[in-house]
Amino acid sequence: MRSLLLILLISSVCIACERSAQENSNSNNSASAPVDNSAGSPNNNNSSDLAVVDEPLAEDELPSSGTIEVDNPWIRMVPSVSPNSAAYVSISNGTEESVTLTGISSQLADRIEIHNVEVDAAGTMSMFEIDSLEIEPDSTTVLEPSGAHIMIYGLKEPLTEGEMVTMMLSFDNQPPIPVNFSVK
Amino acid sequence: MLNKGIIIAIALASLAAGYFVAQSSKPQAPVIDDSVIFVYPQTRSLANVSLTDMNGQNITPADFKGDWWVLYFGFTFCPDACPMALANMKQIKTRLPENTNIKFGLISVDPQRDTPERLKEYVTFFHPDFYAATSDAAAIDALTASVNVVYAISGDRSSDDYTVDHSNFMVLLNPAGKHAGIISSPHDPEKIATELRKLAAS
Ligand SMILES: [Cu+2]
Repeated sequence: MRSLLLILLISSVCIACERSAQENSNSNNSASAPVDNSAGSPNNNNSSDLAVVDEPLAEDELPSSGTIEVDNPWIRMVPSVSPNSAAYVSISNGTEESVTLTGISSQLADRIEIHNVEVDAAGTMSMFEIDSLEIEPDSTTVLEPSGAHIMIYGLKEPLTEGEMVTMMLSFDNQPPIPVNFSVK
Repeated sequence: MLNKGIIIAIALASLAAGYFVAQSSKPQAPVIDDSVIFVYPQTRSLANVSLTDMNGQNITPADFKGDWWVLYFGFTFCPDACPMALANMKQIKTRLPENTNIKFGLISVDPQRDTPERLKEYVTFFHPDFYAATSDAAAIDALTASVNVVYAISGDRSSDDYTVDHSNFMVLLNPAGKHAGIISSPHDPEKIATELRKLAAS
């Protein structure tokens, strides 16, 4: 009797172990696949020849563009029944002065505004118009989903996936920049 | 004295053994990553309201019974959150088996502008299997309140320019037609699909 109970106890403990082991391995499955770094690793045996190349550029040697640059401009594809959309872009200020985005114009839509987004504690998203968006010297302001965006009201034509549309970005102390936004 | 001690030890051991055996023979509920899908400890009932679906049919939330449903509460004039949520739903959908019992839908909180035809064109743009419905403001108020969704119309309702602030999570219904959990943003389609498959397989 005693030995039977002991066996029961031992086996049930083992079942418990196995279960937690399974759970652990399940959670490990979600981890990303190992990355093979070997392919791109430099051949260190010849390092004497390459030493000069490996030396990083000092911060102050990086060329300053002295201009406003944009990166990854895109408009969200919306079904043709939807007259509204939003556009996003990263704006880098390579000048030594603060630059302010004051407006966006395009033939694309009836009205285009600069918007920001607020999310309250309950997860409710609300957006509101802002007059302008400041970009500090030598910094980048990112307009992105769920954040500041270019709000497009009243599309004159439905968007087509993959097409490019041009919008003009105006600044307070810089000439306007035409930017091609891709629809995606 | 010693014997008594041994008997107590055995009794305790057998109790523990019985407990473990009972535990391990129970069907296991899937372990859901609650940072992806928050499954409520207790399901909740949806308000029993009448809705009009995208095909012009009258339905009630009871018609959602039989399948898992991922519902988003939004509107078709929405520039940012709604198209993003529906694009994410499409990404989730494409990661599920074709014969899945997990369905996706949009409940419009803007019946003034979102007609059934408009809703149908909107959601089927994202995926031909997507579904949509809406109702009058009173029914939408009751339905959203029963699933903890908040919305508020801001701007001038007499023009087409007004916008609707709303919750940005997806609402999960179980096959009993109960509100079973929520899927908070930001939405990661890969992770959500993985957790939904686990739930639907249980
Ligand atoms: Cu906006």
